[in-house]
Amino acid sequence: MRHIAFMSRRQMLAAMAGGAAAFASFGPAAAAEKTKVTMFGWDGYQTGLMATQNLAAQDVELAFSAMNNNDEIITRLASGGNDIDLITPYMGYVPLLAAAGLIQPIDDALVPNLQKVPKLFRNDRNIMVDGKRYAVPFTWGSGAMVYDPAVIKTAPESWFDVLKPEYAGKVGMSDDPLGNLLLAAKLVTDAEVPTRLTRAQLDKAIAFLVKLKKEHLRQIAVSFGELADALARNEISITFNGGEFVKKYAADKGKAVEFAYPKEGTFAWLDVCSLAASSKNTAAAHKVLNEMIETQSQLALAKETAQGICNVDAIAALDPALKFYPYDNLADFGSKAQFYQMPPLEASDGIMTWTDWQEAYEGFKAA
Amino acid sequence: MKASRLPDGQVIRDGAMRIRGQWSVAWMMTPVAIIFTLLFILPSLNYFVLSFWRVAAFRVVPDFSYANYARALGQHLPVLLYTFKLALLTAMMTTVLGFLLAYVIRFRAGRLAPFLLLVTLLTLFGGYLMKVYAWKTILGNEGVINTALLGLGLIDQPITSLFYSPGAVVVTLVHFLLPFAVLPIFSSLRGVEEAEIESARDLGASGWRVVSDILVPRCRTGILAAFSLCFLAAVGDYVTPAIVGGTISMFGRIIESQFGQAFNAPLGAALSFVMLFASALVLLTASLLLRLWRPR
Amino acid sequence: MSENGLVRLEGVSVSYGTFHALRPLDLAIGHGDFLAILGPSGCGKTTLLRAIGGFQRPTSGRILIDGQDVTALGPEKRPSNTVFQGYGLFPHLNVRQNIGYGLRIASRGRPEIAREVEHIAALVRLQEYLDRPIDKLSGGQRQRVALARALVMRPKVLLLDEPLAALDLKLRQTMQEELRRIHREIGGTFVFVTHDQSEALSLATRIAVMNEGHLVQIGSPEEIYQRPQSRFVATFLGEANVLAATRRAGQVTFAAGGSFASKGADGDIAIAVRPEVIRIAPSPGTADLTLRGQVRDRLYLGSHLRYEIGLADGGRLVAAADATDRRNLHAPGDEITVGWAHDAQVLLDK
Repeated sequence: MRHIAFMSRRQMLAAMAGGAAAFASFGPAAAAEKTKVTMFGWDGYQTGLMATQNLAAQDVELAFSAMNNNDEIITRLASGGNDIDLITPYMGYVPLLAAAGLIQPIDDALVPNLQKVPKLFRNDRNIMVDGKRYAVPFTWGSGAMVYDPAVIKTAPESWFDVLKPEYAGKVGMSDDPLGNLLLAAKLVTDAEVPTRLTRAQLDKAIAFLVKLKKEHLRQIAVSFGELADALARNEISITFNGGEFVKKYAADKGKAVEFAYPKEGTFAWLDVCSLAASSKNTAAAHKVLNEMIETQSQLALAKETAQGICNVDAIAALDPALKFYPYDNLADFGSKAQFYQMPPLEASDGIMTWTDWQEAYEGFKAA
Repeated sequence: MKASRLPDGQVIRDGAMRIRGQWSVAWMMTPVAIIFTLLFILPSLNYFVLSFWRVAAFRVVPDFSYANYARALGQHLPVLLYTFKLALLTAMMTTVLGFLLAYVIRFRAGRLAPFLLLVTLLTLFGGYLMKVYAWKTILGNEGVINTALLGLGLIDQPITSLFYSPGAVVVTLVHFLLPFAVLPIFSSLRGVEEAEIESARDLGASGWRVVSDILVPRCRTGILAAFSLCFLAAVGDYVTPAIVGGTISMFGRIIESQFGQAFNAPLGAALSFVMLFASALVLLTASLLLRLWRPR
Repeated sequence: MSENGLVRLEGVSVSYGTFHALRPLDLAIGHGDFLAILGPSGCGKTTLLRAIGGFQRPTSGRILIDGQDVTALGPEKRPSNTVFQGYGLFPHLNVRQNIGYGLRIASRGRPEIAREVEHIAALVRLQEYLDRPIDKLSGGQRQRVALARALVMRPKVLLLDEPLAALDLKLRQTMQEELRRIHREIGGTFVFVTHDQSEALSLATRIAVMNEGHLVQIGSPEEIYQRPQSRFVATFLGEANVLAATRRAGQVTFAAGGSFASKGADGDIAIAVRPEVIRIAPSPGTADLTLRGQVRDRLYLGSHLRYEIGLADGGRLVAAADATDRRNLHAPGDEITVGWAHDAQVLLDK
């Protein structure tokens, strides 16, 4: 999710220019005794770590390299020959990375701040593989519906509202294959887990998206920034798939929008920090993992990204303007938005693979 | 045959100069050739090989299969054709507009010519995104055009098809690419004497005949360069369509997503080569048509 | 000036804002004329030619060609054709295609075009070059192509803008003869612009002299040369001595001494005398009037000697004398008498 969420226009262009990620070193000039930890993640995710002097105090020097998409993590780790210690994947990738032997277990004892992370996030089954922790969650959100209260007076209760005739040509969507297909599958198929689809179910989900596109969709946004922009310019009034942070993005553009969790439910996402199997600085890396969910660091992250945070102390101290996530009733959030696993990579029992999904989604795009 | 009419000494001297010239040209070309080989030929070969491989469990596996090409020309063909349609339209419009602008600068602007040329160049500094966003504020539901039409009472609902539409993509790209069309055509037009145009008119040619008989054949290279630049830029662009095109999908976006989200570099490579060859085909056809363009 | 000329300009003027390129003028060009429009650069001669050709819309006045008012017509609709100074040949076409271009525009049949092109190519002696590209031609050959391309249209009037200016001296002389021959052979009406007075004198049947946007004098080369009406014409065409004089009661007296009888109003006048009509030390009875002077300088110029003579009033006189006549040999410092016949001098309007 994070991929699309934070894919700013700047990054879009950077990706276009060949995606040569800037490799930047932060903190004071490297002193000999400091241990260098390299993080490969979304630009912006280093903000919290830089907000405090905690790492320097623990003799850790952070080197940050910006990534362009989740798959790049796999490519970089699998190709070897690099000094990446930490990565920030979407939680759905964690089981895949663990199975491929690209990440190693994390010692909870060395990450005391985990105790400040609500259970809903801390022990998500995506990041616990065979009882072992493979990631530290630090930010979250969901595919919430975003709408313009100036046009839609009461919060839509159902995702099917996007098909109402009065919203024809006023629906926006972000270009998010996993989220869009998963949500469509949730709405129009009887699949128990919307990421475990048969061919027929996948086709049905696609057919729904195509119908939506042909009859109601005005925009498939290249980023959530663009989605917010379309809302702010009154080009669209309601979204299929979306995100809580769109509220903040739109507010920055002077537009008040609201989000809702329709009764059919949606998906939730976590961005997590994992330890590369090849890391040679695991002790120092654990210090960085702990700092990722440290209170001040989390507050800085919320301010930078407008995403949900995972530290209860930080949540308590959060600026009310950024406290629009349902922090007060996470259990209720958990019932409306669920953390689904990725579609399988290898075909078995007629379940469609992630590759099948992507091919199908391309068909939707071309339709 | 012509050389035989010349005194022998001259032929020999000519020959010597030609050989020396060839050597210095070879020397001058060396850095370009090295850069071209390192940065284009070798990576292209790498991707060409890759395009026959396949992906399994996030790893690229050597293979020799046409499957990627079959997909590129099967499943993805409609998007390819749509992309080419849009790019062709963009390139043709840009070339025609660029020609008109270059003509005005060359023959009609008089002392304003350097100024106009500078303005043309200045728009290059405006930045790509600025242009995209400028068109947002012009074509959008609450943009300049819709606001004006609503204000005048000509419409009572904004025309939504102005923006987030293929038309918006073409308009934005034409605006962005115009300088790339003006400059090569202008530089060709500089070689055309005003007296050629006046002669043609004097001999009875209408304005259209002057264009078709004199200006187009005389600016073949410039026109082809302009068309090629604009076509290639338009066909490969997926950011503009993604931002202003609404729900449309371009081929470049599919290629990009193979290297990004989909983690299928072999398919991405195959798609790239399909696009490369299709583009080459278009440009060859364009150059052939221009070559065949002869005054009747 | 004939009232029913082939080309008639009535009150034609051209101005750009406050700049007057062409002052209102009338001009008639007759059938078969070979008219030179002569003047220094910037005098408006090219503007005048372009106005006739349709490349310059007049600010005022009318232009008629063969009785038809063409003032509002573009060049493509006028029965005139132009040979441009830079020729304006089409480099992407060969000689044959260049010459045939106008006929093709006129939708003539292929055989007719081929025939006409061959015919005109023979006239300008280009038959052997018809299939050459333009960039393989010499300057003189290009000039012929430009000429042929215009002539093949059988224009009622052929306009030439400085047609020989780009050629070297020898080629220019050859082309002058060619132009005269072609004019003779096809018997058309030619108008050409030149700043070269010798070219105007040798080519034209009539010369129109222009200065500062005005048409100052028009006439045959002999008239223009022998009877200039103004100091400008007298000095622009060939060399002339312009002497100051005063008329009192029918008697004109030179400032340098000497006088003769001449009717007219009293006042200061100017008198033009060509160097070649001045006799050095004339034998009695051969000169109608004489002046005294002192040789300042003598130049040997092959066919003649050129004397610069200081006059009594401090003025200067240039005289040309036959170099083979030994009597004409005077050294600088010699006191001499110069004289000329009455009809060899011209009284200028001033």
